[in-house]
Amino acid sequence: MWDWIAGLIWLIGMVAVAGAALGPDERENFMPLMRLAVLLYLLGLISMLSGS
Amino acid sequence: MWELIAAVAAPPAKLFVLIIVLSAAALAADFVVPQFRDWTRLFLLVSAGAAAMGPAIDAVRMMDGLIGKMTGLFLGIYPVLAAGMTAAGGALSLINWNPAVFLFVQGAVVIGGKWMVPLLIVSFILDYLSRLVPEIPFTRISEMIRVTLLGTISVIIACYSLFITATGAMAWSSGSAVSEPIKALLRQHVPLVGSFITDTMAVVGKYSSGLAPIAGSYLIVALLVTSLTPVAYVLLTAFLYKWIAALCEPFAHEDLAGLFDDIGKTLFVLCGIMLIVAFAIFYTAILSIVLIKVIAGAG
Repeated sequence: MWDWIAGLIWLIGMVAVAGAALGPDERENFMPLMRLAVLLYLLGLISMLSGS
Repeated sequence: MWELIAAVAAPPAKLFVLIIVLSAAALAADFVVPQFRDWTRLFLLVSAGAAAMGPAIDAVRMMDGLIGKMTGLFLGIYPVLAAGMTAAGGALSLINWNPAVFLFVQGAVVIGGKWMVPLLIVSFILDYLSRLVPEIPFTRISEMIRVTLLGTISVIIACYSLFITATGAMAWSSGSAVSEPIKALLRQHVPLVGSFITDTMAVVGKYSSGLAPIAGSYLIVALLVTSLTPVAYVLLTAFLYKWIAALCEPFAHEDLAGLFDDIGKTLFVLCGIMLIVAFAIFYTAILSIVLIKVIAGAG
């Protein structure tokens, strides 16, 4: 579980740096892609819980 | 008492000075180079957030260490206590004690250490991440974790009360004219855990008033102060975070004030977990005293 949380911190940190680098307008456009990345990461937690 | 307040207040006071310096630097940077506003916000949140976590994580670590020690102590002392009480016989009739409380106290402490503390740390981290990237919020998850923990804590404390009062052997003996206004005041003005604190006061009051003739009033007061000191430590830390949030709201970044507020809220939940451990310490000490009295033939 701690590995998963550490990975989440890295992911959100990268999203934060990317958001600051892109600027407000581009961030608006890229945010769905970033949310998709978080969604895929959350799916990883679900597969981890089921033991697969 | 003042030593405790000074020891608790020192790290948040240093944190507040650091927040003032960082906020001043960020405001100056925003004024001089407004085109780097996003980067300034990111650096401010990362540096101030990392500093803000320090005293909070210290409080969680203290809690974790305390639970570890208590688990070890329980594993060592409870078989001896249970065997001694069964052999002595009189101890059970002495306080109308329910032996299931042994299992319950130990279970509550193990649950506290294994599940509650890690979930609380996850709640801290999710609050921080929500502030770092507001477009991807985890606020509902961390709120859900807090509500779940508070529910569990209230169930455990209700069970403690049930164990103590089911037999009806103990009675609240201090004047209710004095205690009721204090309880009402605490319940209204201490957020989240106020009602737990008043429940604790009532349960501990019931038990200690019944035990005062056996263990001695001064000993009971000393045990209460010892077991409730960590609770006071965490409660003070939580209030200091709320104070920092309130004081830096006018000038600091709004996410920063929100982060401090969230940390304060989570620490109030930690205070609830601390109460369960305080209960466990108190019961163990009281049971040991009762057993020694029975063995010595003075019970």
